[in-house]
Amino acid sequence: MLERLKGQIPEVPDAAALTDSIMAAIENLDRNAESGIKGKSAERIPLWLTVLRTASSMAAIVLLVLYMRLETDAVGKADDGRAEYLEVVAVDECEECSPAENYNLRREKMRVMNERAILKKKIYASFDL
Amino acid sequence: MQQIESDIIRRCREGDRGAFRYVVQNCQGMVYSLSLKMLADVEEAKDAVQDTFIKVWQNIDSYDDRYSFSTWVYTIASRICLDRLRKVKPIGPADADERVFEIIADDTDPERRLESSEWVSVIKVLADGLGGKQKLVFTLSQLEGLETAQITEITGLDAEQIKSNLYAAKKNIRERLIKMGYGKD
Repeated sequence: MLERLKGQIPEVPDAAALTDSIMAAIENLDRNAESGIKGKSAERIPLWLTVLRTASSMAAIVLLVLYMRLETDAVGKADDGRAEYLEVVAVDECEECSPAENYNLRREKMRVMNERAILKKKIYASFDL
Repeated sequence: MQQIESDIIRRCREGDRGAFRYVVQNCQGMVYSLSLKMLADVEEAKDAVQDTFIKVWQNIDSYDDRYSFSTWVYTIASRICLDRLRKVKPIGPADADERVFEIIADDTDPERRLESSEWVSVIKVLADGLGGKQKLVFTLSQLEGLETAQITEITGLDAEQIKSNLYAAKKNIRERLIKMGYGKD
């Protein structure tokens, strides 16, 4: 029986209609692909927006560089023109006092300012935490 | 023939739908034959034919002229059929299919051409329970009558794998036919 069936090609029922449906599917496919390409080109970003984006990016970079230059400018110039590191200026609490006494005064002031923190610490200590 | 074929394919690559219609008209018979014998369903087979030619149209640029065009089309069709077989739950042969099969098996007329519906019944009875690869190798080798070299190109299986799949398929079919009372012949 297999020998009889071997190589037999069944007839396509309504072959012309099948061909037409295949060609119609292909035409639809091509049309969709073309409209897809058109859709994509319509979605293209306008030129003015690209220019605006570039300008704002460049401005952001300039501002960032400027900020970094100002913030990291820790090197100043002495009277004779030598470069020297800038020091943090500490306001003297007492003009007549020595630097050591001024230091102690500043520390004392900070201690008073941190009274709340110290109080908290004491409370925590009383709870043995 | 080769010249005409390559000319038609060149025109298809340029987007000539008229040339592609010619390809469809010439090749849909063999694609339908493979699809019907693989899927055992006329409507499924027609859908598979349509899917195959859509894939052929979309991928015509990737076709390598050194190989046979019909083998390339067969490769696409067989992959589509295997995909469809994976998705569809297999339905065994009904009593009506067995009756049709018996009529065809008892008919000794060598000129008899089977209708699509008769093919459906024959395939349902013969290939019930075969795996996808077994079914594909059996169909290409025993029903389509292709050579092992062609089957290798289409399926990507080597000669040994084809031989073992075919052996397993034939064994399975023989056992079923014996159960149906057809003896060892």
